[in-house]
Amino acid sequence: MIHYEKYVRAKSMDEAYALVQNFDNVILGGMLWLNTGNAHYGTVVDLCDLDLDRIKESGDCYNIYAYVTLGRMETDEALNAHYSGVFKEALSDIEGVQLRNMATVGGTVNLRAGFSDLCVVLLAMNAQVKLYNAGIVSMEKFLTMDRSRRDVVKKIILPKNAANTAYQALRNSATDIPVLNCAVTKVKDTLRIAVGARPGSPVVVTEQIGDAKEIAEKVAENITFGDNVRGSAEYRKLLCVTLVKRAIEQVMKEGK
Amino acid sequence: MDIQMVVNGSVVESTVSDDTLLLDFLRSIGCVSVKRGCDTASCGACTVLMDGKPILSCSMPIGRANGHMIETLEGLRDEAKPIVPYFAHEGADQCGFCNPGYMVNIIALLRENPDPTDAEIAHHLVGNICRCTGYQSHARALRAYLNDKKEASHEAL
Ligand SMILES: Cc1cc2nc3c(=O)[nH]c(=O)nc-3n(C[C@H](O)[C@H](O)[C@H](O)COP(=O)(O)OP(=O)(O)OC[C@H]3O[C@@H](n4cnc5c(N)ncnc54)[C@H](O)[C@@H]3O)c2cc1C
Ligand code: FES
Ligand code: FES
Repeated sequence: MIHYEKYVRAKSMDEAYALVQNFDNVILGGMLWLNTGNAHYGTVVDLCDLDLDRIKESGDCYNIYAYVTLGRMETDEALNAHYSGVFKEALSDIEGVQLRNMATVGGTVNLRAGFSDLCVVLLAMNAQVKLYNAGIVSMEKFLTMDRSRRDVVKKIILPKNAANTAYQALRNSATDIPVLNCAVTKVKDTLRIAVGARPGSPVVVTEQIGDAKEIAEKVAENITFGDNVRGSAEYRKLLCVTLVKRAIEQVMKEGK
Repeated sequence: MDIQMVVNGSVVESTVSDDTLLLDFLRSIGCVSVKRGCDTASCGACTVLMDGKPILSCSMPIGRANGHMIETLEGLRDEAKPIVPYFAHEGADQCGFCNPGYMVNIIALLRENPDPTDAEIAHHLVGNICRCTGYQSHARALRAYLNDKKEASHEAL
């Protein structure tokens, strides 16, 4: 259970950024992951007064601000209509409805968990992350950025041209984190294929459209997998072929 | 810190330490239906409604709940009452520890979707863990309640 001395509602992003430069302090997202540890913090910084629970469509993208919950992304009609329901598919198996009503996009992206169902979709979509200080970076770059440099995630930016995205995962049981997940985005003749829960950080490769099985086998061959309690590297490699093949077949179908 | 919120329809004011969790605050003011099962957002025993939405009070900082409307099973008794006999009849409560969380989440479901399918029920309740029953009794109880309710409303026509 989390412990802290002081709870502060930041009045500006400036204030939040300044506060978390002190490594004793921490930003609160939904506090779900933070609360699974036993750490003791000085000040926890809540961004709930900064109007960050918004989804805003603008020009060629959707802006999803940091305090939008995973539940909101899962059920937002406009977003799911544009992206053929991929957020509903990818997020609705994360724990229960109560957790998804609390877990935030900012906390999820910042956590960069290898198994993250949202991160793998964002990576395939070639989404961007807007950081308060460092500015806009691609999700791909964000996943490998130095974690010791503290910043504040303000929003993620989803390109509208990633409308044709499919998600696939396998869980050993409902509510467990996935053994493997993947997402494929098709833009014209190019496929961006992201694979997560390897169990390491999700990775992305680009391929031209072609035979789904052959592409999936090539992807599985070129990615490294590891063992953990949920599955072996060998099992993950086999799963990868099946899941990536299914996701490619989905995006190749008209309307998906 | 000083806090003020509406709990089960009444304004509650208090002074608490900053790192109080909503769960502990609610229990301290007598809402002992709210249970601590896991503390890691995994079991649903601590479910309450915040501004009408089901959330996990074990992971909600009191500072964020400040100024909001909270409902626990103590305040939802009237909505829970017609469902309870079905739970008893189907053996959906054994030790009973999970039941308040279940009931609050069921109420949230029925407010949003008064006629859910079995699949919708299972999906909505997946975050509530029960160590005793094996879940089938919850599913049977809710199905029987919904069927009887539908039948009664048809008869009334
Ligand atoms: C029991 C359980 C089961 C889960 N199962 C799954 C699953 O199956 N699939 C899946 O994809 N995910 C799963 N998750 C992860 C979950 O979906 C969230 O991604 C996770 O809880 C982090 O989101 P949060 O809002 O709670 O962040 P927090 O716990 O509040 O924060 C996480 C980290 O990010 C920092 N942070 C928060 N917001 C910001 C911000 N705006 N800017 C910068 N830093 C920030 C915090 O300081 C902290 O370091 C699970 C989580 C739990 C607790
Ligand atoms: S005590 Fe909150 S989810 Fe288990
Ligand atoms: S009845 Fe005992 S935990 Fe559900």
